[in-house]
Amino acid sequence: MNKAEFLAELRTQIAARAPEDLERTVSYFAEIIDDRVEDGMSEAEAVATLEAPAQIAENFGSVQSAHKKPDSYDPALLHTINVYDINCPVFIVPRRENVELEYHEHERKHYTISVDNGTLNVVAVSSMKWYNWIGFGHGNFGFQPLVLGVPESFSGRIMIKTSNAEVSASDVKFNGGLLIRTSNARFNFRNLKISGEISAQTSNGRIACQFIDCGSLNAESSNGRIEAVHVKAAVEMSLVTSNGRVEVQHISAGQRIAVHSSNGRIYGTIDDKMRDFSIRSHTSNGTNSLPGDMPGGSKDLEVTTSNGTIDIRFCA
Amino acid sequence: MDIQLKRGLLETCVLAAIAGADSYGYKIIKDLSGVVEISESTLYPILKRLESGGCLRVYSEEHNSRLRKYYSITQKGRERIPAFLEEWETVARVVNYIKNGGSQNEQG
Repeated sequence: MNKAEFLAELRTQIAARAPEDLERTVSYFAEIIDDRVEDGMSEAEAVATLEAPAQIAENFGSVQSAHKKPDSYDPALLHTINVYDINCPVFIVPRRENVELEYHEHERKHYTISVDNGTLNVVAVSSMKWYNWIGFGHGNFGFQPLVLGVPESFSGRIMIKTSNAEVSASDVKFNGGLLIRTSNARFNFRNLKISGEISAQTSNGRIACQFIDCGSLNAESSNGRIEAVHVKAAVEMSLVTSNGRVEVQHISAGQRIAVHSSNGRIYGTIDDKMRDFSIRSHTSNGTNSLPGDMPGGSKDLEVTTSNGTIDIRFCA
Repeated sequence: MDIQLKRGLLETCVLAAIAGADSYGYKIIKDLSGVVEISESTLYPILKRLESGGCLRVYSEEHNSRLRKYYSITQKGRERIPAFLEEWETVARVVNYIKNGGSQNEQG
């Protein structure tokens, strides 16, 4: 077989791959053949040292067996969605009609998915061997995200639990609540309209919330900063971190705003009048733009940090 | 050798092969041939994985009026090597334990 025949055969064998991936693979083997010819081999000899295209395709198959599966569910039949994943990013995105789930399974991880009395349970089951966890084996296991598509017609509660990986939600609107837990990773929330509570807890990661309209927002991190920009909570908003700063811009809440940090400054704007609030605030080792204790308002504002300044302005 | 274990070893071998100077596919295979058995179709997914994991960068350079892809180790890739050696200590302890017929004495 000469080079052209080999490459044509390879192309056929790996035809199912994405076009860009296919071209890269073909050019990789073309280069190897060229280098061997330059090293003194004939084209036929160079090709003969390579594995057969069918064998190459099979080798690749075993390495890249991760595949994508979209599943679809009628939102009218669901009131709860629970996702338990491990070391896997989760993205929540809008969908037009159905609740949709896209996930990747491979030889070391699969999902058990069930619908039970209106509850969709998605549970990752890992059969990673101990040496996979210490850097052996497939290097990219678990990095392909799980994508949960949520239509506006969904009404109920979504709970996401993962670890060591980020969770993001954008452009999603539904009636109900959203509870998210991860560790050692950040949250990104953008353009959400959720009638109930958004509860987000992480460690060692920052939390970014932009353009959120919700019932309540409870965001908690450790060792991560928190940003809340254009966040409106009908009832209350609580932003808590340690070792991180908190930035609020144009936030508002119907009853209560609580912002707590340690070792971080707290600054920004609240879209309300100062006199609407009963204020309690405290920092040590920093200046404070708020009164320490001012009763009288119909809503509560609590702001505390240590080792940081407090600089909150009101811009109603 | 267990295929999973071998892939982990190979990834680090490839990083070691490009740690000194940027290299290309055929040269990496030639350089490693004295150490481990590695075929082109084994190397390719390893390079891809290392690239997507940010451990190496790929660039093309003209060579004898054709383009050749060169692989350049990143800082992250460099850090993988001592990290691997450290992990290997754990493996070595386990291997010792197995060699000693599961005797706890060797565990200290």
